[in-house]
Amino acid sequence: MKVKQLMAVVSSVALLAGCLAGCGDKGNDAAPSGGASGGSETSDSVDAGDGGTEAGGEGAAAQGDLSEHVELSIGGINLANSDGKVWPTEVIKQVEEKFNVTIIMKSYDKESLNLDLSGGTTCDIVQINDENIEGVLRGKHAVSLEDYKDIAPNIFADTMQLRNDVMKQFKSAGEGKQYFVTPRVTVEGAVMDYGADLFGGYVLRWDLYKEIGHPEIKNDDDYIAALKAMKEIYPQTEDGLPVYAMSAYNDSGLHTYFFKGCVTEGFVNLEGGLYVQDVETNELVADIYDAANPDVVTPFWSGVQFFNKLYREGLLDPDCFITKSEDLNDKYAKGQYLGGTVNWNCGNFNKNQKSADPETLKQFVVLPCKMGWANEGNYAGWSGKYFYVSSHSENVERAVMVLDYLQSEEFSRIADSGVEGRWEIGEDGKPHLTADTIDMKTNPDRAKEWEESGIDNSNTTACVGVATNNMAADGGMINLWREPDVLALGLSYAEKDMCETLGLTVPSDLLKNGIEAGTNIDMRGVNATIRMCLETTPKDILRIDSNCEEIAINAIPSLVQANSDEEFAAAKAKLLEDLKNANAETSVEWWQNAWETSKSAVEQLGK
Amino acid sequence: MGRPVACARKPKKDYRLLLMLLPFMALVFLFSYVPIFGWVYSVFDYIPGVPLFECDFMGLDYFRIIFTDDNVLRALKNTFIFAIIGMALSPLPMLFAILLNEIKCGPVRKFIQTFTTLPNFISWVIIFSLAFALFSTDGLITSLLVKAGIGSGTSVLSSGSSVYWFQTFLAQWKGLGWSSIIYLAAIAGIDQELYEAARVDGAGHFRCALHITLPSMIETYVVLFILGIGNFLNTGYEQYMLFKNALTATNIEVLDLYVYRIGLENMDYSYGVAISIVKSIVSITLVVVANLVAKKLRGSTVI
Repeated sequence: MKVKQLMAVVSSVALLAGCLAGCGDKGNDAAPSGGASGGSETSDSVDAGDGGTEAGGEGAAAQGDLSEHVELSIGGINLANSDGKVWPTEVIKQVEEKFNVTIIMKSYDKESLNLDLSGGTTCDIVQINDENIEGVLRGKHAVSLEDYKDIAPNIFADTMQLRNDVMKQFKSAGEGKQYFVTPRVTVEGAVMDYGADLFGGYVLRWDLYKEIGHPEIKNDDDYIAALKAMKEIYPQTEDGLPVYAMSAYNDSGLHTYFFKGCVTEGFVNLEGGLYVQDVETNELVADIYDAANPDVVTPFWSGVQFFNKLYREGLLDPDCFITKSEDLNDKYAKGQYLGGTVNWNCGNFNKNQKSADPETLKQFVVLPCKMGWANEGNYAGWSGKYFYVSSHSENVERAVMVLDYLQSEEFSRIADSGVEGRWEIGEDGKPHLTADTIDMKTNPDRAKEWEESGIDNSNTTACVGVATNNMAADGGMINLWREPDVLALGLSYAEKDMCETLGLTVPSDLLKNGIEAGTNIDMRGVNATIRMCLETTPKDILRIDSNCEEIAINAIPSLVQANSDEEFAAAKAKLLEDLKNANAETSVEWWQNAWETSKSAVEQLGK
Repeated sequence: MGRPVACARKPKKDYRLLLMLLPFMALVFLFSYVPIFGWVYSVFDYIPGVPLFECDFMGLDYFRIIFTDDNVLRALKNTFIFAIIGMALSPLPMLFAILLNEIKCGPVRKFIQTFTTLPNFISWVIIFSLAFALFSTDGLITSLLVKAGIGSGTSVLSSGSSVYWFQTFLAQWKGLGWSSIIYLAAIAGIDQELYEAARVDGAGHFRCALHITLPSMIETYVVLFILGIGNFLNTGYEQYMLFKNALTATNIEVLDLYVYRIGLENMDYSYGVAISIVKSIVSITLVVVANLVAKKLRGSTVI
């Protein structure tokens, strides 16, 4: 009996202890550092490399203690987890060897980031967007990078001056200190670059477009006419599935509509797409609540009208409003769509067709709308992507060094073009990709090798950004794949056929020629710094905006499915009325004021 | 004359029982009472990453916003509609259990029970994928209905007017078998002599079910019904989040989904908590009222 009693007591205590332990802290409470760490480490100062500065090529050397091997985590809302993938890649291995670290990547979503921020358990280096800046600063989660200037020559290079000024003035809660860096700043000397092809515009199945005689597409009406003609000759897939012109993706808010409108009308969107920036005048325009701008066709309304036309022509997928990106990818892969506004979803179709027949014409290609999404000058870096070093990190100094290296010209080059050896200095004294590297990219049998090389890896790109226009100090482009002699090498058979048919060198020549002829525009006139310097949006405005976005999303079916112009006008009037009742005017007023304030501030910065 | 041994041991036994109860009390305390501390977030302008008491104090501002927010009213209306339909259909598991009990062939009964219980373990994400494959415009069922000349070809997934019955149908399909388990247990507890006596009196299957099985389960049903009223507004959000699209949004957004959207998607945590508090107060009120009604009608309370 005594034994039973004892067991009962022990079991109860064990259960209780188990419950409490499960809810307890993991004990991973790193002491906030705030200053340079590594007091216990040996002061074995090592040259941490000679990463120059983007296009500056100053060759500054970061000095720091690298004697102890440490694990460093990089987390962000645009990053993917490193486990389960090819990791570390050649590019990451170089960083690891250079700084004696093991790097792990962590993907954050809003919830996990907020949870980690609340608990002070974020990664060593964190990437956030605008909505978390206030929390990071007020919660003192970021170290002041200026305290580590001696080990961060790339961050504090002359070429980063404007970016640093913006960070200090607008992203420091008035402290005037620099806590954040943005990736890949466009620097002086950047060249015009259109790449080999475009990612957004009038997307088409090349084989069918060619079959209908590849009529010139100057506007949405031409595009719809082409899609209609294509559907007539290809009403269903080889498997008997119905074919449509395209569909919307419903898991990205209003993106389907405003992105289409942006490239058609010449705007760039702010986060969420409720407000857009005119790429030629740099004015802010209320995208959805356009009541105050009756003469301006805003991207949202342009996009909605385009989808309405598709609907009336019977070209739109009837499941348009329930299709999510996953379903969209699936239908593209099955060949059920003839066009689109972006080429992100066509990848599997193109890949499958190319695998089955390397010389197939069944490939999606992109023709330019009025505006090509190219040549935007991010002189203050990418907005909405802010990196900081966590004050809770046990290895602040090492994290700063790695973050600094991610900002260097050297890392930008290897992230885009591969580690040295994947490219080499030619007889002309300039860097060139090796024939083996080019073969590795284009040869499907070497796909795994390509992945392992880490070139154009999405995680690395998220850290380093995309600025294809920048030139390196060695006279070559940072991204050697953008060198004119390499561009055409990566084209598919269908793209080559397209170039031959239309008399182009690369597909993007259509945009380049259009710009030269004055019929198209790109983003060279956009002042992205204005977006970067906007003050933090207050919660009451955010609440109004969120509500307006929801109202707009819910109104889209009645707009897109309008059977006549009158019906469309009535649906539009109702939406505008609903938005007005949801205080859209208060939001517009706030944004216009904030925009003007930001513009003045940018002018004062001299940019 | 000494006290009986049993009486002397009684307090000791109670102490041990209480001790064994402790872990479960701790669980309830940790997961049901400690989170109530979170209510304090509703009076601050909480910003993730900033210690709570360093955030701006807002008082009852967020509660005032609730009364000016039309979306709360819309979400509340949807929640009530789903809850009332759910309540109206709450006898279904009981009736299903009775029918299942009437199947005398053991393997068939077990097969049906397993077959109807399994959907409970399928996640809503999978169910959405299945529903998309079956009910989209090109889906199997939609196509069959069109071929049979019954349907118009419009997907039920993109029909705002079908939201209430279609979502209820999915929820019932998923939970019917699982919910009937407790009634099957209740049936197993019914004294078999009652059935024998009824049969002697000439009662058939139907009369046995109507006069013995059903009344024996009413007590269980009432308890579950009243507890269900406590969860009246707790509809959850996964199902509705997945099936929400531009065409169904107006009717499908329930209070839990709205709180999710406000709190987690828009990072307006404090306002989300304020709505949740109001929801909890309404739920508690409903339970108390239901309990009082039960006491009036049956003479006994559940809680």
